[in-house]
Amino acid sequence: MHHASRFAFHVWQIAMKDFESRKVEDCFDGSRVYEYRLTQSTIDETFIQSLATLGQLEYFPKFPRPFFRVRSQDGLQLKGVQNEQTFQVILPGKEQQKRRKQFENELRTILRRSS
Amino acid sequence: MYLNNAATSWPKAPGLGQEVAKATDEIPFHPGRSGFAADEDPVAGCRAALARLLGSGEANRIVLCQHATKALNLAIQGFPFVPGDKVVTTALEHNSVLRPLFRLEKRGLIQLSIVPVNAEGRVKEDAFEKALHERSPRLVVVNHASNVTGAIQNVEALFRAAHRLGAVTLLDASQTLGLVDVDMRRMGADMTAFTGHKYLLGPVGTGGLYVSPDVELEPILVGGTGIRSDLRDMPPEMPGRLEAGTPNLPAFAGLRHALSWQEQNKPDRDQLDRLCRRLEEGLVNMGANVVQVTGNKTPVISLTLPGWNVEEVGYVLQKGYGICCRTGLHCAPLIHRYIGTAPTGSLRLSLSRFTTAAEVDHVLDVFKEFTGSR
Repeated sequence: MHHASRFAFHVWQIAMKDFESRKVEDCFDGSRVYEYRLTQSTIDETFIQSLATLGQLEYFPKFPRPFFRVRSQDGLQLKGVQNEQTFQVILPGKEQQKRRKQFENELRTILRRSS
Repeated sequence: MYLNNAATSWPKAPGLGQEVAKATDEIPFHPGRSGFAADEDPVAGCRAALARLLGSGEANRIVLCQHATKALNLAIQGFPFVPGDKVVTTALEHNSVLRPLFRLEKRGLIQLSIVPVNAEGRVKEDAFEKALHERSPRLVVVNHASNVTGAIQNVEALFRAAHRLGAVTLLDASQTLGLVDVDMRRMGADMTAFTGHKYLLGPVGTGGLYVSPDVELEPILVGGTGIRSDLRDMPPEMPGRLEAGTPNLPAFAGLRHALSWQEQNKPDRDQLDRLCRRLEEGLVNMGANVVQVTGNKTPVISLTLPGWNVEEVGYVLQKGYGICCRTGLHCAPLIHRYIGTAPTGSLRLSLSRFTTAAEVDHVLDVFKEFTGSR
């Protein structure tokens, strides 16, 4: 790749977000539930296994579309299925926005490591 | 696979889509505002069919609107309460009953009593009678069948007791009309609210309220009616008095079609009951905590699975297996403390007349995989 093109690609990579998120309504306090979408990758086993750093990971590879869930000690919950781009996160009841930022930093680190 | 019929039915009555499309594409008919023959009027057609279905000869007492929520708000917020009036309702009610009542209670207009239910989601009749005698309510509101457990209430007995004390009775038939016999006269319902998009197999955006000639409601929405336009207030004639605004004509054309199809094709409740029991038994045998309902019920099953929260089970069923179902409180927040599913609610599977034995067996296979996965 030409040096200038390589530089442009690098800038583009930095500008691209690794994930997007949106609020999801549910029966309870909808403000606690978010759906995250990976923009650069799909959820594979490597990514799933790396989520173990967040809390207790349970992985069900025998389901037709393998399911995973993570429960952290402070009450953060995460669930999703393999080969999708989205998963759901339920934030703990207290200090939600602070915890959300912390989770997103952890997610960036996980995505960097698993890419 | 679709097992969320208690939320909205699918599939709909055969041919419904074409009927709605036809009504959208053709020159609009405007009931009360143009000179078409009555048999061309989809709204009049709905009213006539609904009057037959509800066992009422008074089609003009059937107010059509967008949904059961609107109908229930009309019945509750339009009721001529005076401050201090009492209302008795039950713990199995949907938020479309509870929230309007809570609002009136908060404003200080009514005093509200909520009667508990048993572990199946059935009203405790002795507690109900006790509440009636203690409160002497002006209005009593009862859900015909729980949207969480499917338990059908003994409405006839409950409303008989309410009438003995002079109360007006309001029945929420959202979960039953089109599936269960709703004979208002026999049941003693002075008002009956219903939706078109559940077991009537009609389109969303359709519903209504039967109002007995003995009950006069105040409109909660005022505006154009196409009749008596010179009046400053809504005209006294029913149903126009309670039907301000242009109705959703294509949707009511669809509902008229669904009602006509229903008249020719009654649901086989015995077969539906057998399928429902088969699913229930299979789930219980696999260790699911199914809310067991004896006797008369709609094809609704609520359950929890040990070791899983209900949201996760619903997520796996939908994303992993393509089974549409519902999880949570199902907009009926009070019932869960009585049926053992508080605070997170239940996973709800709700069948329809179109659900097959093969589909039930497939769901059981899926749960077998699920419960064997740990």
